[in-house]
Amino acid sequence: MREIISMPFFVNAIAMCVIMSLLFGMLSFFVVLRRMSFLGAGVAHTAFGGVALGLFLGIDPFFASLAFCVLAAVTLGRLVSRDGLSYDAGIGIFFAFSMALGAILIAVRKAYSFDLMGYLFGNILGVTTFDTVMAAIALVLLYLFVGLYLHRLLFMSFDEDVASTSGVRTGALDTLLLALMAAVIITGIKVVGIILISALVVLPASFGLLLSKNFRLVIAWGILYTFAIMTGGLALSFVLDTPTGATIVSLGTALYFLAMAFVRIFMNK
Amino acid sequence: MERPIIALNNVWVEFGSIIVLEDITLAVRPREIVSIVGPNGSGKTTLLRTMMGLTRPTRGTVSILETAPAEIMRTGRIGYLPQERRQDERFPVTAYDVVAMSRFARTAVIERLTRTDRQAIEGALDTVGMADAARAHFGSLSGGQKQRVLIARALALNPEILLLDEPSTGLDAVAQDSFYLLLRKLRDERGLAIVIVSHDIGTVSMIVDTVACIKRKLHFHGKPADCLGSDRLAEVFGKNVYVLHHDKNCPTCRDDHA
Ligand SMILES: Nc1ncnc2c1ncn2[C@@H]1O[C@H](COP(=O)(O)OP(=O)(O)OP(=O)(O)O)[C@@H](O)[C@H]1O
Ligand SMILES: [Mg+2]
Repeated sequence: MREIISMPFFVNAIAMCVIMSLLFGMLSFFVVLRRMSFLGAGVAHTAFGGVALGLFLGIDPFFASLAFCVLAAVTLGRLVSRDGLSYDAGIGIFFAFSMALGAILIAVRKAYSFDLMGYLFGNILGVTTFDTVMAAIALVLLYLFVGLYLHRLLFMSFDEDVASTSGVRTGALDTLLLALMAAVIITGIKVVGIILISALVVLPASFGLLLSKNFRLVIAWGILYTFAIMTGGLALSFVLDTPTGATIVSLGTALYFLAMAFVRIFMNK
Repeated sequence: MERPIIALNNVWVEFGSIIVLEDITLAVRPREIVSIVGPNGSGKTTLLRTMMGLTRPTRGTVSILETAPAEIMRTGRIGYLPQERRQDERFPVTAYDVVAMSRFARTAVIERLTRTDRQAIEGALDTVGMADAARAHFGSLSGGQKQRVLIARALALNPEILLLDEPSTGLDAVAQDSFYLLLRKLRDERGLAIVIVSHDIGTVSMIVDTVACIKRKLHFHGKPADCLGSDRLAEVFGKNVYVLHHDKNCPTCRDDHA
């Protein structure tokens, strides 16, 4: 056991679990309350196109997908609020296109060495110090943002029109939130993959909302929950020899429904 | 004439090929209470949203507090009560949190409530009779209670103008009466201008200075009493104006409009 712990990838994996919990526990709260879950899933899929574009142009895939996704998230978010473009259709079309573009670019480039499965389903053992540092930077930015704007974000999520007529700069806050959402999702893709990341975006706040009606506690429960499923899923995947990302998401789903049953039975709701 | 606090000049609002507001010119004076009347879908909500910049006119100009609507939004001088409540029942905030939102809206850098803020929040909750429910979960309140909290949120802003879209929705008879008295008091004591969209014309006409009859176009804006006897108005508005006729002659209103 000591040998495993001393291995750098394992240290990275644990550090990543802590950072991911703080990231997704917080992000999930705003995404769920602003009803942007589908947008989150869309951004994750867009990442695939970004990675492929990076490979194609010879730019680092991480930064390529970061730039691509931030741009996509902000643009889609704007289209939705300005022109009333339906979230579902707009995002559905865009992320399918982005994945298709990615597939074409990879085929054209003949990038066979590209770890496709790693991007789609995650590979926590492939997490490098670079990934951890990037996630830590996202963490600092997200918490700085929320620390300064928590109540205004809450107002905007609760009632965007009234927030803006009351003096909240909703346009700017929305753009920043969308950009941060894209950045956080990109850092999480390494761990659970494009296909499964939407679970991390939706589940923590949904879990928190089952247990509390106080926004601070909902966030705290979301963080705890994410930490529990990430470390639990990681350990389980070692013991059962199953894919890590899939194990984390399955454990998370099971825990969510368990909590729901618990609340129904013991709290009479 | 005092300068108008809200002025619309030849304002058109179109959504695609549908004209929702056509060539509206309307001025609201300081301390005026205006009621906007019209059948469903006549453009009342759109008119309110255009006044504060939430909807941009396709033609014409709007000025509010002598500023462009887009600018005024940032200053938080307008209290707005929207018609639709789209909040998620699960939204994890208390009644107090909801009212506090309007105090946080104007934060410069660090979000922290001062003593003045807390007094404004508690005062607003008290005014609408929700002080005892301050710590209750907003989503678990009844429809009328939610409406009261949202009214308190608009009041806590200490606005210079109140724009209220069907504020009496869900309020019981007692709450309605005291709400309308409150509006009048706010106008008298703090000099607010108030724009109310309401179908509940009977009560509203007791407190308003003017009525604006809207159905895509502005068909009439003036004292409620002057709106009578116009056959054309009756033709356009049908029963909606009939109610005004009725009010003029009903005992409670006669003194006000005689
Ligand atoms: N964003 C929009 N896009 C397209 N059409 C719209 C939009 N907003 C309003 N409309 C249309 O404009 C018309 C006027 O709507 P509005 O909500 O202003 O009516 P209203 O007078 O407030 O009605 P009600 O009494 O039912 O509240 C309606 O026909 C509506 O369908
Ligand atoms: Mg309306």
